[in-house]
Amino acid sequence: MTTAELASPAVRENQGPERTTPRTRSARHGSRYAPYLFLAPFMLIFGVFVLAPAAYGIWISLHNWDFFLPSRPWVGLGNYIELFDPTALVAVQFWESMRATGLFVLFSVPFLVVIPLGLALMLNRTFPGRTFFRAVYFAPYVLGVSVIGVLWQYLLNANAGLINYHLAQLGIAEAIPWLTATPWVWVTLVGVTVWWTLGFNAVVYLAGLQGIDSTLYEAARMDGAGKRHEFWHVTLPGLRPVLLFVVTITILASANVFGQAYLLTGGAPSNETRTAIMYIAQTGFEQFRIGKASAMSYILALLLIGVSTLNFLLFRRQERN
Amino acid sequence: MTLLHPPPSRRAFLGLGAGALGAAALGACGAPDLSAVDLPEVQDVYDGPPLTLTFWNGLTGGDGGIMRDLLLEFGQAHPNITVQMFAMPWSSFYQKFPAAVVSGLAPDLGLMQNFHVATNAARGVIVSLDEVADRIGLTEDQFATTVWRSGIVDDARYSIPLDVWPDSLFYNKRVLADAGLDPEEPPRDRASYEAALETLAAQGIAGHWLPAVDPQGVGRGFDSLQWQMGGELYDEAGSRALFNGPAGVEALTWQLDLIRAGHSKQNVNGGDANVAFKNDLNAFLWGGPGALINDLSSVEDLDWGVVPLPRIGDRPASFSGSHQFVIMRQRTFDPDRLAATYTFLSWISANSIGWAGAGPVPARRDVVESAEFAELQAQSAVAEALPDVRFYPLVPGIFEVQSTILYPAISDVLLGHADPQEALDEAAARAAYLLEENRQKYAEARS
Repeated sequence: MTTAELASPAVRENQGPERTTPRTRSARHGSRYAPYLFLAPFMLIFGVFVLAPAAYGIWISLHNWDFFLPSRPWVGLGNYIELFDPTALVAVQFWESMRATGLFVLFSVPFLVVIPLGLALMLNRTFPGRTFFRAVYFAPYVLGVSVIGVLWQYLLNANAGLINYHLAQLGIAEAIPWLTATPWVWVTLVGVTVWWTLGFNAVVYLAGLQGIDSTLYEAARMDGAGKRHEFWHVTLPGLRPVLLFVVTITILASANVFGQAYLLTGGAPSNETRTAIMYIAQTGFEQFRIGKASAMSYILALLLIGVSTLNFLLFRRQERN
Repeated sequence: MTLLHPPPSRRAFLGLGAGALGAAALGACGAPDLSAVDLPEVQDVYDGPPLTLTFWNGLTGGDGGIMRDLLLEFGQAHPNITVQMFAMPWSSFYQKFPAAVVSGLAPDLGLMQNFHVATNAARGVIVSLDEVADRIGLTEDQFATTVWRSGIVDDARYSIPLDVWPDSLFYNKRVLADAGLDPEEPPRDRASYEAALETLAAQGIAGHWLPAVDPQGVGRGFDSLQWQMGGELYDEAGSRALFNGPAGVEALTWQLDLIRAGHSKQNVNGGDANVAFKNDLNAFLWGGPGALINDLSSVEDLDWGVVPLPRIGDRPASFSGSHQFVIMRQRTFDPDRLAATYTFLSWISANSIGWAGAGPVPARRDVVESAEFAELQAQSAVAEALPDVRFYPLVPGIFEVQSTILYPAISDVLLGHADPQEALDEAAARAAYLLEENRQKYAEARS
């Protein structure tokens, strides 16, 4: 780009008449439509499968809409208003599920941000078997949610599960209700999710760590910085863009939690772990009350957009400081 | 840098995008047509060129294999008709087939649990079979009355019952014998049932593992018990929940007391009771014959028997479901396919003894009274309960109310997180809301 920019004033003056010939045009600036042509394949898929359904969703959310019924009366903002009416069942259940999602984000994000960072710092050192351990920690991430759901269901079953069996051998006689009582359900969901996805965040951190200039560490050491100072004043600032990415992605992924809760606890106890996505899916795709489900999705999406924006602003302010 | 040819302005670009989206949205919002259908007049037996019928259902377990065997048998009797079966989990089936109907890709016929028939009839995705039942020569006197009537919604028949599967008492003979109880005489009433549990408890055995969390329906035991105690789940119009009445509270308290007294472990998951039963750790299992007879038979060295549910209340009653055939709505009905469908329905109803091998009791009275059926020991024992089976009321959307409101409340109580009366009261209030919403929605659909 730099050479093109430097060359362009001269080009414009001297070769003006020739600028429409195909060769020079494509070499220098391309057709004005070229960027869009390159974007087109992605935009087409994105438009058809994301944008259009999202816009259609707004339309649906303004109706009392059932996929399979012919009458779909217009209710305006009725679905949204109902979701803020504390006497309506759907509102009670929706905010109950939002609370579950919120709790999950609150409990899981700190672990998913901090533990992989520690792991990445360790795996970034040189030691024999490093590649092996990198693979080991990443391995669970390649499993599908259905696999980890079934797997942990067997392991954590209160009466017939392997974990309680071994705990009993260790002398813990009381069977722990991992899947049916608070706070154990949260321990289970957060623990399983951390085990499952920490490899992904660790790999992202690892890439970030390798991008930090090693001369910075040398300089720090010259100035007499210890390990702790190196971490706070070289590693962390160097990781800031990566950290922003990890925090944002992790919050969004945690807010979309569905499979773990659906398969492991089924929302038990008392819909305590029925997450927002689970409730939306139940309302929309099991009961076909798709108008209400769309309205809920929009509220969830707006909240997540808000949280992500806040996240960006916070990181940016820190950067300025 | 300055571009020589500025790209389209942001506004033009957004405008273009919005236009495309709007067009896509309008194109996609055609509402389905649910007007009444008249099935074309066709001959009773199909004898034309070979054709293939598609048949969707949720028979994904051992029962699927038995249905496929029956289809082969049918193919031998009627070489010109092939029935191609697609099995998927029931929950997916109820999500997918209405979509298939609306998009004009409906299978020819399906098998459905009776408590979903009213909902799908109100949705207009299955067609009325009043005349069909007459034509293939099925009448009420051939069936157990409750079962026959469970296919009728608003005075119109929408389904042909294949079978019925009342919840029954499965008992582990070895556990009973080891505790000094008679393994051939399982308890049949409240006094003997509670006495048996006490005897088992004295040997350190939790005799009745009671699922407190179960995606398959933790509340069916509760349903049976409250009917036995004289309760009702809903009023007749299906507009109000009655399960929080004294019978419901008594039923749930009885269940909770079993757990508190240690006759059941705590936090039992649906599968746990089954695993414990198979490993001789549990004496009594309440459940449906459709799943359990085959499942338990497949365990080597397990000595078990089955009888109708014990009478805990003052009258016998057992929750039951029934698999029923339905004909899916088509954009246009092909007379040949319809004739072939009738031929199949007529054949399978008459040959439903083959289906009894899957566990459920055939809906046809003549089949249940046949000598062949009498040879199926477990199924015959289950069939004793037929006069006392109870179904959910035939109200559109009723399964949602049961599965998303009542059963979670029961689960809550059995997990020890809530008091029976309070939990049922709250569930009844929530149910009222959903019942009313359903009533309005389906009334509008039918008007």
